Amino acid sequence: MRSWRSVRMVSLLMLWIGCGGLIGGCWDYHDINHRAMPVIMGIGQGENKAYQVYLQIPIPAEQKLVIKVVSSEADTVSEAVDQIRMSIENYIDLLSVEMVVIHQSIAEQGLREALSNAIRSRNMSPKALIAITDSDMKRLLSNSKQAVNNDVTTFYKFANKRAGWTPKTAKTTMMEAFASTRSYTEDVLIPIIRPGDDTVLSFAGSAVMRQGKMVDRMNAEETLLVNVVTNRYYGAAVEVLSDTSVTIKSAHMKWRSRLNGQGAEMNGRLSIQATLTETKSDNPKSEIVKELTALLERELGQLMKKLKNSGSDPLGLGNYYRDKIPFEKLQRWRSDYYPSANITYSVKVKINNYGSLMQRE
Amino acid sequence: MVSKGTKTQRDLIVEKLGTSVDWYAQKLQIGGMTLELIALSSLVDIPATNLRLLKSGGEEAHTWEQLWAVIGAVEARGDLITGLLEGRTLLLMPDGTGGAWVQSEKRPLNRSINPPVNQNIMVSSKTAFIEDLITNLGLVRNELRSPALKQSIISVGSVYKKRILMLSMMNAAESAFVYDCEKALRAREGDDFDSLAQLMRWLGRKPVWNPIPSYARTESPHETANFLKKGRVVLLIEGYPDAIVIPVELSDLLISSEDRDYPAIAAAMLAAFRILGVLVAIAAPAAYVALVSINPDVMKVELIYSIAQSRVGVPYPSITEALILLFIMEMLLEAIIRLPKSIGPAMTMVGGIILGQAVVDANLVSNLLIIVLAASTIANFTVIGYNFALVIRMSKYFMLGFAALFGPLGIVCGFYLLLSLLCTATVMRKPFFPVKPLEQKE
Repeated sequence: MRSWRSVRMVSLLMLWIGCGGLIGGCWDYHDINHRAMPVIMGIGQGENKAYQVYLQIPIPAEQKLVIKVVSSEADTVSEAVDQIRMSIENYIDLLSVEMVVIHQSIAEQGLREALSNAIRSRNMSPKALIAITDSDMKRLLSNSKQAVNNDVTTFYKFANKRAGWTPKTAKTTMMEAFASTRSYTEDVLIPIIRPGDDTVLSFAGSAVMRQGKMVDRMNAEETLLVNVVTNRYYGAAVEVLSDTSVTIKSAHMKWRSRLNGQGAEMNGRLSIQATLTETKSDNPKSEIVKELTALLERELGQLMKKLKNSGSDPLGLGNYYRDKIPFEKLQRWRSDYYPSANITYSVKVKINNYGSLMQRE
Repeated sequence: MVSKGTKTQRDLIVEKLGTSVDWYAQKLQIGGMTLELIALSSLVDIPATNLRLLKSGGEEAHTWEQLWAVIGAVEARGDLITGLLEGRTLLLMPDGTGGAWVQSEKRPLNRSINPPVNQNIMVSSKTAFIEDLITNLGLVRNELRSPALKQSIISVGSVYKKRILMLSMMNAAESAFVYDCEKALRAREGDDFDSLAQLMRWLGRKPVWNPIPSYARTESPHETANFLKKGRVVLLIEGYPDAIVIPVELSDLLISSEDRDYPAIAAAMLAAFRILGVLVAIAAPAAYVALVSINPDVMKVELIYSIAQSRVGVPYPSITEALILLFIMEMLLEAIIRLPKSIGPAMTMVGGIILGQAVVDANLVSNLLIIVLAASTIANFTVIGYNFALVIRMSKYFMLGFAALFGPLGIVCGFYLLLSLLCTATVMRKPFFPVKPLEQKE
């Protein structure tokens, strides 16, 4: 009696596992050495059709990688990838794309649709980095061939805090860029890259995006300030004063936001910890602090003016009003509130290392 | 007195055992009385027994009962055949009745007490059980001098008898559980003992098809004493040089009683390594298949390309590759058990080093897989108890199947199923995976 039941149980279990085999779809899997996993995807404007898509694909061979740059022109990005798929011997798997480089001309037209398609299709990792270039795409990808051949993580390392990332460049993932095209209250900066002469890449500031459209450019110093203000500061950046230069060790930003009759009013308290690196004169401590404070306040003021003019809010200041402005009015944050917002900064500088050579106060 | 019809006790015995090679019967004159001594010479040292009887029987005896007192014999009750088979010596009156047992000088059929053979003991008592039941009981008593040690002997079997000694600590063990176990075994007194698996079925192991053994085995009396103190029931079976501990709990696989001798932090570290070992053993080959074939994208980019390079030219999917190498590994493990000790190391050399290297050079498998499988095989045996290592060896294949079908998600599903299996396993209604209340019996 019992054995009869257990036989039935076991056969049911087998059937269940067998059904699992049917839905598994394991016959569609591609082994790792039969996949071509592009590292960079470049999207530029095509000559005849809307897009020209480039893929830089390391193809595994014995003891080495062979790097290929393949391109195709089509009306949509996915069609272009499909055309490339035909001419490559391996299955193209876009999930390991580390960086998507978009040409400036396309970024100026707007990335809203392209980003939603990329996220929706789930073909690409939302963690992929996004960058804009204003130079020739073909050259950019060919230039980096050798570097990628030596180390496939080259592009990833540019954006890695523990490798080569500095707070003077922007770092934006595809998911962040996508979210900003849908957000009422936050925009992003996207780094602008060019092929370097000696190095793999050179950074030419960053692009200021407004709801997925590139509206302005920023240089490295301004990008640094944006990273400081949004608490993304990490590592060390040098600020040059009149006679001295200081290294900013840490920066912390705290916002206080209010909404009154005139509109939005914000005060940001920035506390900076710095060390003295180079000096030509024996300026007293207080002088350096005063100078650095004044410099940062001035630069932040200019940054705000520039951002307000472009109507883009990469600092995410609107996020502080999500609980203060009704939701239906919030979608007009960029046009109604942001340009007239009164934003002030109070900078507090603390220099904790003068070096042992500096004795005087 | 057992005598049926007209047959004497002697007739009954001769009928069953008379033709055996080791049958021995001899007339003796002790204390002025003639009697017959019957024993099995393969079990009893007859000259020594004779000598002792003759020495002790100096006094004159008038009755049969008086003679018993002189030579230290007791009236033979019950089954005489079984008694002889157990190695006892029977005395009979010349007419073939009035059986009495006398203490035999036994032949040394057991090995002496030695360190365990299959279980390495690092820092605790080095003695191990042997095949003799009473010696084993002595070893346990030696560890645990306590009147609370409750024993009951159950002899099962119809054609042949097997004695099973059930031990428990009265102050620690749950009396209802001890009672249930004893009842379950007593109910099978008529059945022949065959294997431990059968014994566990008698003890109501559920589900029957569950691969997880419901008992722990230990060769060490020291460990047995620790189990008894924890309230477990220990079965000593005649002829088995280990103690069978029921119910087994998950922690027995990961925490050995030896660990109690180390500082708590060191013991915790060892337990953590064993848990890690189990996870690696079960999941590593599956993870290889899942990551290489189904979701390479979850790996870091460097890893993707280095694995891809190591697999260039490998002609079949990763699951086939893994199975080929796993089978070689299993054959190696099986062969080493069968091989004489002197050839074992040579086999390891051939199997592990030469074959492994050649297989990679011939581009049949990727060298990453060799690393993964070696790690998995080593980790397999970090768990305590060979019978549990077997379960892990098996679940490796189970997980491999799931990984090949569903990828990393399949590994999660496989672990879920394994955990459900652990949670449903019971012996005598005691769970394998007990969620104990906070108060502990000690």
